[in-house]
Amino acid sequence: MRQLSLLTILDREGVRVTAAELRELADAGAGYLIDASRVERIGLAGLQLLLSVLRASAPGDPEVRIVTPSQPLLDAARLAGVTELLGLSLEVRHGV
Amino acid sequence: MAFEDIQAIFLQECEEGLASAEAALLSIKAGEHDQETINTIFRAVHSIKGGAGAFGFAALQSFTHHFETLLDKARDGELVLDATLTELLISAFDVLADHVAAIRGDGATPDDAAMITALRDALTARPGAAAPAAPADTGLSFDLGAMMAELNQPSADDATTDEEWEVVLAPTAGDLVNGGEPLLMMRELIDMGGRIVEIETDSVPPIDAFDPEAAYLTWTLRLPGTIDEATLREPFDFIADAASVRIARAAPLPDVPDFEPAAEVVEAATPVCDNIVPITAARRAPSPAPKPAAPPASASEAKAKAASGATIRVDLDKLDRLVDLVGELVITQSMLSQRLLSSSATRVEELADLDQLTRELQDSAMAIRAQPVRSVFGRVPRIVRELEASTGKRVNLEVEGEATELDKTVIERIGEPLTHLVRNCVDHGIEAPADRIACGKPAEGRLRLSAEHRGSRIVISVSDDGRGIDRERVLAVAVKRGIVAPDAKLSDEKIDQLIFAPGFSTAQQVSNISVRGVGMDVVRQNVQALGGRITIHSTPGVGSTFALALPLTLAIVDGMIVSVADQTYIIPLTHVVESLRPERGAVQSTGFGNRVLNVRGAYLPVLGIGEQLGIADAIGEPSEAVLIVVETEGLGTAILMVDQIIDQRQVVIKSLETHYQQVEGVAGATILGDGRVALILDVEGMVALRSGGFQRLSAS
Repeated sequence: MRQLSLLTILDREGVRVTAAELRELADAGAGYLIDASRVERIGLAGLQLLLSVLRASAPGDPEVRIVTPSQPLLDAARLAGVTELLGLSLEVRHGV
Repeated sequence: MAFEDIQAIFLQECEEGLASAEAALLSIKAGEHDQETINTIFRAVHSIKGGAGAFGFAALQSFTHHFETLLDKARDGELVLDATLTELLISAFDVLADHVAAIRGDGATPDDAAMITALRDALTARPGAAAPAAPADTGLSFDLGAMMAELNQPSADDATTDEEWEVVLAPTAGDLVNGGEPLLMMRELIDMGGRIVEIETDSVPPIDAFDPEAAYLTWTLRLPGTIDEATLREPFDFIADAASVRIARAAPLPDVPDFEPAAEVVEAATPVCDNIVPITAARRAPSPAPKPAAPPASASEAKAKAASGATIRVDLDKLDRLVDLVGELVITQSMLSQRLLSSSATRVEELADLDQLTRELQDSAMAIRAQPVRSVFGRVPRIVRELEASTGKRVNLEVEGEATELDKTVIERIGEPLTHLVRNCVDHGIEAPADRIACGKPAEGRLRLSAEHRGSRIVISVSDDGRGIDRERVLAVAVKRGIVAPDAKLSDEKIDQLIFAPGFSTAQQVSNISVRGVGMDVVRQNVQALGGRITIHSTPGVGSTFALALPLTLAIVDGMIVSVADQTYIIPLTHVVESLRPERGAVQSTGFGNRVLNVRGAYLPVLGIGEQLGIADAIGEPSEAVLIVVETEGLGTAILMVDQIIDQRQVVIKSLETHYQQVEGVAGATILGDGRVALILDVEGMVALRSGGFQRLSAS
């Protein structure tokens, strides 16, 4: 499965760059993993990007999953209340 | 709001968090703590960690993560707060303070590897406790899910306050420009005791329609009704679009008995927006790992937050402008009053009211600049800990009057002198444990730090129960260094004052602990520069007390109004010792126009203000003038000769440099009630102008 590593800083510029790459992956039609281990700073724009990419259009679509989320990502997701929506609950509960 | 401004606020909040955490740690050390005490420390560290993450301070975030993990176990009761653990927490706190200082640009980032290891060891040393993992690599060891559930639990306020606040935050694209970050607002709301009850995500588009510039999420939060609305609106002060936020009172949420347990929600959640599980349900679920200790938004914290809601941050320039204008008002009121009185309009009742109101306004304006001395006292516990470690001495620090308020500028400038006095007391005053036991004292020395109001001054005292000042040794050193004549006969008080003499403190007299680049003469100089005075009371074998008497404000000075010919001057009262009129012939000439007067055995130089400032009609005969004995920092005691004393009152200081230029011998100016400008004399500078021709003489 293909894997995309998120940038260290997901500010608006980082989100713009990443969104373009994620669109390419989506267009390819295959599932992929999003490696979030390097994320050091992420704001609302970054969280929205991840929510957007995880939005399933229909059952049976290719699997997209965030793996190895960094602490800053987990903190930001918790603050925004989107931990579960990003599929990070298990990561939080059992440790990464 | 610029990123730097937000970061400055974060650093300020760090300082506040560190202060409360340190106070709590000291309570634990003193054996006076409860569950809320450890919760206080946890919250402070947790908040700093959150901010560190938001601002990208990775080292700080990593350290706070380890620190927080240990605190979490301690507040859960999994770790016993014994003396060893308490010491570890205090040491970790010091490292945390260093991290924050490094971010502020005050020192390098500390090497925290050993401390992190110690924190991990403290966890693993306890059965059933897991070591924390580094946040950036292997993740978390504590249960954030549980913490999230805690955040979503009803706070204690729910039971007592029916009408909570409901805040709907719906950021717009405009709120994301110029570094705007809605998550920072969320953090502030959560810190106030807020909890998310609903998240609206329907607007989030699929990736092919995603716009990085847009804001899609909408949160609905509930906050304790005890918070005042102004406080609630503070996080949104800089939001671009006012329509992004809606704040209203809300009725309590209805109980839903058949909720879906949070644990199941977490396990079963599918990471797609369409299947979003309303947080409303999760918040009523029992926490998967209940923590009876107060959650981050406990009732007491919410109460504290509500209390802090009475505060706002104001730019210091605006504040200074206000104080300046009030000063002008005081002067104008005084002029008006004098004019009316001179017009025989003595029965204007409104004049008395205006006078009263002006004084109250002035007091209020000054009070705005006042800050508790806690911020300065807060540094002392760590200094004492470091001194204990480096000297092997044991010190019990007692602090009193931390809430006493003082002008902000005085607070900022008093830190260094106070630090030096504390070092001096521990280094020179308090004996080593063995020596103390040998002379019948407890092994642990006592250092007392206090602040209190005394009239228009604040007195900060540093006391120890050590050996006291060795006056024989002090006098010997002073003679050796030429500070006093070998045959000088000085009172105990005068000998004590010698330690403030320039050149007394040298590397041979003080250790590297006390030196730190500043001698006691500099301590005194700094205090006097603030318009303050420092006194010593020392008893051999019993201890010493250093008392700093400081003005409440730097905008007003207590002054003695004097006249020289047709000119009026102000002499700051802090310098004035006494005034006298000598007998004819008592003032003797020593040649070259210099004169001295024998005042109780000491010959003091007599300086005519008229001569100094070139006023032709000044009284020249001392027996017809008034002599004012003044104390200076580096030039000892001297006498200023004026024509007469007119009054004694508080005057508003106006900077001469701002409006004209610096003038030697003049500290500033003020405007009197009759509209005339009076110069405020710089006594130190005035004496220095003529000091070259004088030498201090011993009457003996």
